[in-house]
Amino acid sequence: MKISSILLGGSLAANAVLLALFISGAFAGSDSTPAAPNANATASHAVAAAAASAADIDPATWTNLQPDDLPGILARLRAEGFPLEMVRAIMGELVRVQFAPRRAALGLNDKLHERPFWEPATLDAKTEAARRQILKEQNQALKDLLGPDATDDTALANLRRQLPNFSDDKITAIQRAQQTLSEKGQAIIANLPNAIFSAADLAGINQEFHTELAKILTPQELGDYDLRTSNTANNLRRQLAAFDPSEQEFRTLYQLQKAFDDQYQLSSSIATMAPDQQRQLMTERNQAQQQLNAGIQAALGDQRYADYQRSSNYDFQQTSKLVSRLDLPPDTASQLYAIQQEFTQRSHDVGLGAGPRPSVAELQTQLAALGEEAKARITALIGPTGYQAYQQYGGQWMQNVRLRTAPPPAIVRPAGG
Amino acid sequence: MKTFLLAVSLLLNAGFVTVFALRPTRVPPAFRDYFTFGSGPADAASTGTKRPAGAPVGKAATAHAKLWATLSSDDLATLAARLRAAGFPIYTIRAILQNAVNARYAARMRELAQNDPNAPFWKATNSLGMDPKRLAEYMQLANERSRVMRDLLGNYLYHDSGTLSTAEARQYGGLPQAKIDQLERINQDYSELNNQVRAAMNGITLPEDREKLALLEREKRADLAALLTPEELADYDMRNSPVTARLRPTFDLFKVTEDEFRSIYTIQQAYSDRVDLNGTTFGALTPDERSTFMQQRTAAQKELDAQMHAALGDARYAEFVRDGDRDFQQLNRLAEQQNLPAQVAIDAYNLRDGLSQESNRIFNDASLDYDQKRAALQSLAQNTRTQLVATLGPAASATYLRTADRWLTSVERGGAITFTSTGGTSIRGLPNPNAPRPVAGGTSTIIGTAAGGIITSGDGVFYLGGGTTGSGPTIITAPAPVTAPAPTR
Repeated sequence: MKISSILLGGSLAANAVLLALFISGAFAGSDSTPAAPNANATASHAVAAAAASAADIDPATWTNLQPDDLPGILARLRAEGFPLEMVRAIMGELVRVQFAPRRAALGLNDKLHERPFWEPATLDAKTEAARRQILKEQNQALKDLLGPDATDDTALANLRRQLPNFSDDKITAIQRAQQTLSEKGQAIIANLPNAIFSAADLAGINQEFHTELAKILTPQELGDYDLRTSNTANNLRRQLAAFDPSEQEFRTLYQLQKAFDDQYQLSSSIATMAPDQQRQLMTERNQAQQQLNAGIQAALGDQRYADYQRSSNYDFQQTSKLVSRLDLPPDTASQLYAIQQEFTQRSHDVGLGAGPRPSVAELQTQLAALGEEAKARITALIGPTGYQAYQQYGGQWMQNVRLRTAPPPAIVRPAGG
Repeated sequence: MKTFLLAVSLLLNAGFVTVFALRPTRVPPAFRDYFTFGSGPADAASTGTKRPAGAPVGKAATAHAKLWATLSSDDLATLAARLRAAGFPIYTIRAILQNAVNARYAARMRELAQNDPNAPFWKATNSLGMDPKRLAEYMQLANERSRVMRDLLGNYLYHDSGTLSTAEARQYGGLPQAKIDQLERINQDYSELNNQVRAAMNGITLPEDREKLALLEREKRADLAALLTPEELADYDMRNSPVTARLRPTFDLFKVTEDEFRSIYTIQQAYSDRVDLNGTTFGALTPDERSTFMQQRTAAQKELDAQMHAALGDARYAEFVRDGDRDFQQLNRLAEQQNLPAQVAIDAYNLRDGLSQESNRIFNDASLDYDQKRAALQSLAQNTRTQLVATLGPAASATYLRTADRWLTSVERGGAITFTSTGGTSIRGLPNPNAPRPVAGGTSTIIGTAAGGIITSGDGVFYLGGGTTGSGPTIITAPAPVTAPAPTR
């Protein structure tokens, strides 16, 4: 027989064997499409296929892993090729089950189940404190078992993305400091019922965190960190979205805004001040705000300052969204803003010209006419439906083109102050 | 011809071997070992795990370190079945499946939740909270993920025993499992449809949006009514109503029977229906609509209070109001934490009410001048503070005074305080006879922003708009307008 015939015969035989393996493998446990959100469509086939392969599996597999020996099963799961995130998840459950008898002794499920549905599903303070203690010990036990593998690297990855120029050592140190900050914050909240913590408590631990960062980072790095992550920077980025600043413009505005925020950021402590102290603070704050605006204008120049004012104006931001929603040209928002500026100024000028001061009735008539003129101009631009919507989205200023004769409503503060 | 056939056959064999090498799960388990390569120490290194001491090496290791490869599958139902067959307990199966499902959705959900990593640090990128479309997609993925888990695990999703969890039992009452499953699908389906409408709204609510949302709500109600009997639907509504959720903190302390609850619920639900904004929000109303709504709500609130009073009687109604007060709930919790009797919370709460009554009495007392009133209010606040410390003890009072100090200080500095039925406070400050007064018919005085002002005229005091600065709405405070005659001395 020729060699080629032998080879051909052997190869064809191999084809048959491999084909048979392929077909029987398909029945043993086929690969379905990677993302299977429509579980119903594949479930029946998959279950049928799964039944065939499950028969091959030793039912003592789990027992053989000796799950009661936690350090031992951890090592065995790793050796058996279980991915780290699976190991973490399984060990988390094993530790939870280990603490189950202590939770059972508290009678948690019974206590919650006893309460009728119209009562809150909460525990009494003593039981709740005991439950929290068990959870704390449980988390510590898991950390002790898994060591550095206890947490995933999501937080680290986020920090690396935010701070691309920082070394790994510094990123790790920052993350540790953030973890400490988080634990302190949780301790404050856990010790106070219904989250009655004061702004001062949180400000205190935030300050400690910043002091800790100052030990880890150089002054320039700390400035860079704040520039990327601070509340001032985050708020400024949002506010300047439509302004589209250059890097230098952003850095300049950040420094100006930070100086203002460090001194005049409003907090709930204002509620504890005497009324005259509050007034004093607000007057100083508003003066500082005007100085801030002047500083921004000087830094940006007149044209860019006009762009800045418009883009950071809340009414303009709302109007831009409305214009987009109504499928109107984007420039329509600028035209509406110009109308707002014009009529706001004209309403302030009413009754301030030369000559005798007009009466209240005359003031009201003039302002009413002004309001009608503004309405006509806006309706011509965005239509009657658009005008109705505009009054809610950016057009609230139109209420101010009216004379009020009633005093403002009484100040009503929420419970507790 | 023979050569051609041989070439094709060899190519076919090479193809099969390649597929089996890359996807060993394509092969029946008994034969997988022959197609799995690099399964010794190299594998341990690639998974980032160290080979534990004493672990078999060589061929034994190749055969031994296969468990995950044997069990894992891209098909989640297969994975679940294999884990069950291997004797894995349900809580580990749940953990593994949760991990596997999360992994499928994690990348896209993370992408949606995070800012654009390529954007320069000085630029804003659309975050989840600011972009309704991103949020809608994120919610859809979250719903899909939940549905996949529910399909895989059923009732074992939340509970090792497979029975309903406490939360589910409270939510569904005695409904059979089949109806619960269908109910959850209806809720999830309509939640997704709602999300789609809201994503298209892009933060702007037009009348057509309200109509669409209202239509979805009507259709959902129709589907629920088709699934549940009228009694089942009424019970389901009551258990899951926002009214019940709002009342729960009150019923933590105010104990009622089921019949009593049903009576209270009926009254409260009727009020809620009267003030319902039918899917829109207060902020989306026009100014005229807001004004009308506030008037209707005030009238409805008065009626509600009267009906509740009539249903409960004087003493029980007073308890109901007290137990619904967040301040009292906090006092109760504090007392419980410190192992103090419940009466301590009541005594501290009564001190608060006493302070309110006395501060108003002093404020209204025409026989006292300004300085006498100031002194009396200061003394009242200080005495109340001392009594609170004595009643609650040092630990509880230190915590309570964190919030109580706000209104104690207001009284101390010359205010009369009233605690409103809706949980707020109203403070009247003593008018200071020594404060500078605006000149009648004089020039304007600007307080606050450049866009705001006060103009006085011979007829009284008028306000012209607050306006906004370049950095958004600005808080403006101004002294109360002085239109009344000078206070008596």
